[in-house]
Amino acid sequence: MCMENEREKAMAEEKKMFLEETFAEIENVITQMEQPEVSLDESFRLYQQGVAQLKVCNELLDEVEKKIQVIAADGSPQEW
Amino acid sequence: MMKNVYSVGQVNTYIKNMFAQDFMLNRISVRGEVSNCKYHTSGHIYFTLKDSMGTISAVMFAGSRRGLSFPMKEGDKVIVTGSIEVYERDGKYQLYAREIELAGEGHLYLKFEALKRKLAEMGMFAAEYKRPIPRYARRVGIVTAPTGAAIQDIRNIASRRNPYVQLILYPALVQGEGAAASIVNGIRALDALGVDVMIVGRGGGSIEDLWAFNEEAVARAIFECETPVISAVGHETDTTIADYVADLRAPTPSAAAELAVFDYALAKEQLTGMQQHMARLLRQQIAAARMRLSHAQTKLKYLSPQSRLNENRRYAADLQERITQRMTQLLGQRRHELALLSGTLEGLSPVKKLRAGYSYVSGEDGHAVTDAACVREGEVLDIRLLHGALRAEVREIFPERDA
Repeated sequence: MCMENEREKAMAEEKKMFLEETFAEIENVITQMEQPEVSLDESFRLYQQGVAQLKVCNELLDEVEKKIQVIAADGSPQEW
Repeated sequence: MMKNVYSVGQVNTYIKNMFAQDFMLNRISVRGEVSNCKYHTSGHIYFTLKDSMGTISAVMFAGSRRGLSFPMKEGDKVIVTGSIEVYERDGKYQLYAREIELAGEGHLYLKFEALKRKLAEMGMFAAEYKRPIPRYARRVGIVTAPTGAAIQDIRNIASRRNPYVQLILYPALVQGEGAAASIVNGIRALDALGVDVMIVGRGGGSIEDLWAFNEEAVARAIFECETPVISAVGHETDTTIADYVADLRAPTPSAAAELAVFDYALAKEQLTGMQQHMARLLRQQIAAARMRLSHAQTKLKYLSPQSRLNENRRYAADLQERITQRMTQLLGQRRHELALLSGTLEGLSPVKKLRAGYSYVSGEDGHAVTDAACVREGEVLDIRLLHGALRAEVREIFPERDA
């Protein structure tokens, strides 16, 4: 149970950071694409990169609905 | 030995100074019951503060009236904060009130102020300790009562904004005996379990109901918590110690849910917006590249050998045109000049003179004779007429007849 929680926690942490970072990376790609001196090749490369990151973001957002959990007396979370 | 004798005024002044130098008497809070309360027309309030042990007379001057925020009346249990000073004229001491609070509430208020000051001095409210609230939290811990309005509000807001976020409730006791300890346990348990952000709070209530959130133990637990904490205690107007020490203060539990749980639809919308923006930028790039291409095409065409040849041809034709024009012009000019000259020449022709009866006389050397003095008698002169010529001999000379 405890191990499972640890894994879940680590995964959630990773995803949270990932989502935030990926959003930031897409913003960065857009900023680069907005540069007037960017070449067409570079634009295509950036666009592909951005689209891939968008896909990641969308996948991270599309998830199952969560039921609220409650911490039981033994400190473990359970369905409420 | 002479006894020292003082005047009444000297003694009163001496005692006044003693009082004035006493640190405690300069700022003191006294609890008691109000009696003999008189509101003077000048705005001053005279009253007596009493308890089972004794009485002390007190005054609040009009200038300090801001320190009294309720209509004080006989029998009110109050805490008066001010200084105790001697009124020299009467030889009596008095409590000069700067602040008067009702004792029940005031007591808690003083504790609150004291703890707030203490924790502030320790730096527990300092901005550099505030952790940023994650924008895309996926696990949100909640320390509040399982039955209160707060958890309902948070659940409603969270499920509306983003049903994919995992809410984890620590069912805490939020008021009464043991509340502070329960809240502390909740904060620690969720911190250990691991959540992205934590909401600690409860719904509205009296200052006594909210008191657990003013306890030092709760403040410390929030401060030590590794997870960012959003405080959400009572209503907008309630501010607790927990609010000061939390990483972010939400005015209500609902507001806390809005801050902790990101809006799913909005995030999706942003992604769509970013996708469209990127696609637009790419289209612009392609359009710009097309434009450059078309420019290059035009330029290339312009620079091609065919174009050069045509250009040269046009230039040659142009030169020919110009040279012809120039020649025509020059010829015309010369012709005109010639006409003018022949006219002049005509005017100067000797034949015309001869026709008018004049003759051309020349000597033996063939030169024209224009001076009689240059001719000898007997010299033969040739006279040319319009038709034919004569040869004549000079018989007589008349030099400068008219001079």
